[in-house]
Amino acid sequence: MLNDSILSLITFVPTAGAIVVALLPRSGKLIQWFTLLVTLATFGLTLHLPAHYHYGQSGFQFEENHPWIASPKIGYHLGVDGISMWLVVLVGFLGPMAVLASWKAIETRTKEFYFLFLLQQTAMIGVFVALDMFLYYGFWELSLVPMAILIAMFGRNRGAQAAIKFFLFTFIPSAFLLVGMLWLYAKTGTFDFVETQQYLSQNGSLLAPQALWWVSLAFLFAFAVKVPVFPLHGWLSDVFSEAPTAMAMVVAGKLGLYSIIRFNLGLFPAQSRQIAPLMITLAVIGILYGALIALVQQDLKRFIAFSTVGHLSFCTLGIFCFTVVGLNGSVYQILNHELSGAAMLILFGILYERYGTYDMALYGGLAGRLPRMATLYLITTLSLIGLPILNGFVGEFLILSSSFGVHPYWGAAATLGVILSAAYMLGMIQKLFYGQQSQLVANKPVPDVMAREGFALVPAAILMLVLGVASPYWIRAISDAVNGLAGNVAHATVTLTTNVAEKR
Amino acid sequence: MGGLRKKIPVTFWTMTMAVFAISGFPPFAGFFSKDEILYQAFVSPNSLGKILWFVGLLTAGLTSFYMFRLWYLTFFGESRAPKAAHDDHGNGHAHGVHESPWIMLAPLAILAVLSVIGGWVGVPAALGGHSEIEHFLSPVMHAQYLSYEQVSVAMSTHPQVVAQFTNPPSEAAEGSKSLELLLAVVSVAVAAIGWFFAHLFYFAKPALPAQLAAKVRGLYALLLNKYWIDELYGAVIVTPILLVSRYVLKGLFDTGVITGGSLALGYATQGVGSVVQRIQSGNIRSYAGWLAIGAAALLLLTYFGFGAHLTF
Amino acid sequence: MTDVPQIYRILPEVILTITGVIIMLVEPLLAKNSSRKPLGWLAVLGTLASLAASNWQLQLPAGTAFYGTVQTDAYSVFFHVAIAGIVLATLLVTLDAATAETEGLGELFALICFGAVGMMLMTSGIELLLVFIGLEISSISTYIMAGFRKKSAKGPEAAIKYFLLGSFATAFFLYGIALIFGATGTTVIPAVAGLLTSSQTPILASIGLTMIIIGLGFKVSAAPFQVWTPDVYEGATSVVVGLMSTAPKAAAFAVLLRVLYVAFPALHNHWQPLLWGMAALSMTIGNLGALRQQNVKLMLAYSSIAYAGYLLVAFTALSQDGIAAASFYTVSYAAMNVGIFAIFSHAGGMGDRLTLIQDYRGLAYRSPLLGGALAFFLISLIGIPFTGGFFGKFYVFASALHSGLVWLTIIGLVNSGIAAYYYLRLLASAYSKPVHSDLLDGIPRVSIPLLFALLLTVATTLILGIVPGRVLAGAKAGANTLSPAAAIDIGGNTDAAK
Repeated sequence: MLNDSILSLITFVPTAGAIVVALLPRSGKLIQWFTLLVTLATFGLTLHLPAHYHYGQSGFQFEENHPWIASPKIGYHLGVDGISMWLVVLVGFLGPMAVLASWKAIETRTKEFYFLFLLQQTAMIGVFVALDMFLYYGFWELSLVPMAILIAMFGRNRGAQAAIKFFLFTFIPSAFLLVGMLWLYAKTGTFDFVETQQYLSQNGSLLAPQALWWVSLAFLFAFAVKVPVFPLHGWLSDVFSEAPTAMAMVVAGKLGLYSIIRFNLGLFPAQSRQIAPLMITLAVIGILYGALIALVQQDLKRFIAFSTVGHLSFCTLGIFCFTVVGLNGSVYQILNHELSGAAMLILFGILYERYGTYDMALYGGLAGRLPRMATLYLITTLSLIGLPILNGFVGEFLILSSSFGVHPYWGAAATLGVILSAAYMLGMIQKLFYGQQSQLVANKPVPDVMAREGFALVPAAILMLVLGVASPYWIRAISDAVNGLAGNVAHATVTLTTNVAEKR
Repeated sequence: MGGLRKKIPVTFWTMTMAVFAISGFPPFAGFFSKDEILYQAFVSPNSLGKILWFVGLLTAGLTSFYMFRLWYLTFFGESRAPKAAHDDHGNGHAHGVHESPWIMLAPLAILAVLSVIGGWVGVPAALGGHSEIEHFLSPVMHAQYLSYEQVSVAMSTHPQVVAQFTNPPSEAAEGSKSLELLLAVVSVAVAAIGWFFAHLFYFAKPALPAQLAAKVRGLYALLLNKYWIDELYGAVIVTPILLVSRYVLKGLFDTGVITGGSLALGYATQGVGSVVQRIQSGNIRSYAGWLAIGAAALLLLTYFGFGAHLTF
Repeated sequence: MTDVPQIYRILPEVILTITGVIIMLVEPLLAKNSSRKPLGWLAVLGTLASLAASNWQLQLPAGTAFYGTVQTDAYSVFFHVAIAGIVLATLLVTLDAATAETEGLGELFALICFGAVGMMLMTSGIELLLVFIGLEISSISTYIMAGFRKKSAKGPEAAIKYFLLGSFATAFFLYGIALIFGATGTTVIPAVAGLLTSSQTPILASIGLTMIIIGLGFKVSAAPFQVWTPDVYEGATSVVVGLMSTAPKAAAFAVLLRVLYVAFPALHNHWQPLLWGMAALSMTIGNLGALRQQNVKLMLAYSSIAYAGYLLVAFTALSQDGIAAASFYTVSYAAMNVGIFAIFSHAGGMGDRLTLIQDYRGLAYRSPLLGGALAFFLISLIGIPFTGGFFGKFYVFASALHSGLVWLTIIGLVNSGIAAYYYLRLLASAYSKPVHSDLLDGIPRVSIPLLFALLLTVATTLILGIVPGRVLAGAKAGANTLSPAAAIDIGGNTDAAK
């Protein structure tokens, strides 16, 4: 019963919540409590998915498919596979975390904030569950709006500029994405992802290869900016440094990477293989580049922005290695990075709430004052570095080991990034928590991690450990979907080579 | 520190077990793992195996030496702590030496027991055991990474094909039991030598190290400063990386090319925009002129393009 | 067909004319200082009646009246309803913005009604001279309305400019009709197509068509005939701009579609490239021109030029989908544009106190309702999904790409990406932390008529974005009556039609 409508429910419970938030009075913490309730409910609903997921199948599950608009033929088609399922759960999990992180940070305009925040939840979940390209594009673009407005409203000092920059950086490439989708529609007569995929794998050779190639590039370009893949990361550090924590947590990574896997690998496997060398190069450059710049950043928010560039490049690397293991690792790493990166941002945020600055140089010797916070910082840091038994290790190991198998030199270079990432992360810990107590720290007594913050961070820390130890539980479902994709890619490659052979 | 044996007996005993285990004395845990590693290095078909075995052996001796040095200096002899700390001991526990609370002692005890008996799960065959964990990791070590093609072939044909990629290769050549025994004796002997020197320098004749250090001052300084490896790294690797990152990557590339590039694109577009805007002079004659030009252009296009496109 | 009383075919126009005349007659009888707002409510009633009448026309069998000069069909009804809706919202906004000091309010209400009559006649007229008369009625009303802000020098300046340049363009339109008559011997649109094949002087017909395109191109402010737009928009009061940027344009587009697809499908190889160029030029000039504008009305003036470009893209698609997309986008653009000008007019009043983007800084803090509505319309103008603005644009480009117009689609969508910038500037400004501003303090409370107007426009925009089915069906039915699928069967590629 519930299986037939669970995805709609997950997607639109936040929207319903947003509408209620708009009607609630602005008194006390009512809006916060209500939003927390909505996000918790959403999270609870997302847990239905792994509980009722049929393992060992590579297709989509929990599908809902209704006609929506007759012509152009657009359907309301939802469904998840092993890849998107965990991403949906992830969004659900991060929701309450974000609300708790914003509890004190957002004190004015709470109604606007939580209204837009809940809309953002709908948009992100929608991106993962939509199987109709029109619907997908709808959620994809919708995810820009709350983000941009919230950055403009709650930016630290140059919010409006950062918001516009963010919006344009994603919106203009999306125009190409739309051209690509419309082109596909003109050829296939449908926006449905599954039907398009079938059409392309059966009749793809009838379409002009040149045109398909451009279309796949249009898709990739739009997604790569959103990830962001080096050198398209120009927007990220501004957004990170301006956006409120709850928004910075979700702005990068998963949407773009998921879309690359879903659309570029799913629809254009042969083209993706051809472009893989370029993407691997960019990924490895991104890993090193992000790490090296993070090494010299003083501002904590910009620091985490560049570390994000580096860490997400690992995922890109894994995707374009074209191995089952690498792809498993990439999906896993998306989950890991979103979780640990979010925790890190919250931690930076609560430090900022106490001391009012993100400047690393002003801190020092916090460990003596805030032992609990130091513990949480260290766990999160170690998870981001990829210490074994924590989550980051599993993903990075799978990605790196598969990249060694395919491109030993690039793999070696990427591994350097792991070392650099340990260097800057631990350097950050050292500057913040050890050494002499700085003037700021010495003169301003502040409370240690409070219960509310603990509710946000401790589950995350526990999850980091569980993800690090019990990885097969997650990878099981991911692997199902990845194997399906792998067959698709192999099929396309075989078709391509036979076509080339026939032409000769 | 020094002479702490009586003051913190539990810590002393647990540490003792750890020291013996790390130094590799049988039957402590460290012995079995070290012994196995050295043996595998020795019998490895790789030509470097013997050298690595020797290096390992040497460092095993050094390990034993410095571990016992630590042990002697901490727990034996006279206390070298400043007098003030001792005076405090009488009236407050704040700075005096005292046993740790149970929450720290309990893990210590567990670890100490494990460091005594932990190695017994892997007693090699040469010593009459049957190494329980020798093949523990072999599934991991032999797992292959399937490429898309392989998976797809495997899925389309038969599960057995997958097995072809995942079967462990045949066992590597192994040495004899007597050799393993001999090597074990050697390594224990080396560890014992390490212990002996530690005993000599730091228990029997405490003045000896200073005399020795005075004799080979250069070597001592080199060791004391950890071969200056840290400084070397700092000068050759860390500083250049930081400089390049700060000025070339961050300053020049990220600010200049990445940020500057998008800004330049934005300004270029706006520049074209302001040219377009300039048409808006507010002057009605010029507007009429523009209208006329536009109309003329369209009419000319129609007139001259007409013949080419006539489709009756 | 003949059993339908002829008057039924022009019932909406008749109702509005009567309403306008009553207003004109009653206005001088009212005491000098008394409020003119009841007249506005009268106009609202008239418009509602006209809207109902238009809708009722769907029940009639499609057919012509008055010697074959007027035709009611799904197409004309579609545009009638759209125009009536725009007028209704405009009247409500006027009622909100007008104050006791506003002069000539009664005339304004009457002019709005008369203008609507002209526009409606344009969409149902199938005889070129009748269309011309409709065009003149609507144009002259808008010329006068443009000068409504008599106290500011900019109002009359705008009116004069609009009048002079508009007359210039109308002359082209009239001359075009004459040439077509010369070439084919008829001015009835459906008859032209048949007579064109036997014409001795097809070049005349072709030049005549170009002149009609020029004349209507001016009315819809398509490049290269867009120069008047920014000046007139700047000078006219916001209420009027909201009206004249939507309704007359919808009517002009309706005429252009009818002329091109009913009278001149055979010449599509001639007009398609022209419109292709005009579309690309309009989109580019419109969006680039808007980029650096500080004045919100100038910005939206340029944005309306770009909008004309998007619509012309649909014209070049040469398919039923293209016609339907153009019709649909007209409605969705009207909803959001009228809505956004409603906000400007409420915030700035009849005198347009708030003109610059920075004047709106902090609007969302001062009035969450206005800020939210502004944000919503801007989002729709940017083209974010689940809004009418997106679906319209999407449908236009889907039909263009379906006809193989890849480059035009790329130009258009990149343009819409650039366009996001200037809309966002206003959006970001409205949502930035407010500075203390007397301008914002002067914004009155939201009145009931404005609430209705916003509800109408927001709901329309949202419905068009989420459940566009009904409107889409209407647009398609209209497209079908205009050009039954076989009329120009172009499909992918224009060469294939030969």
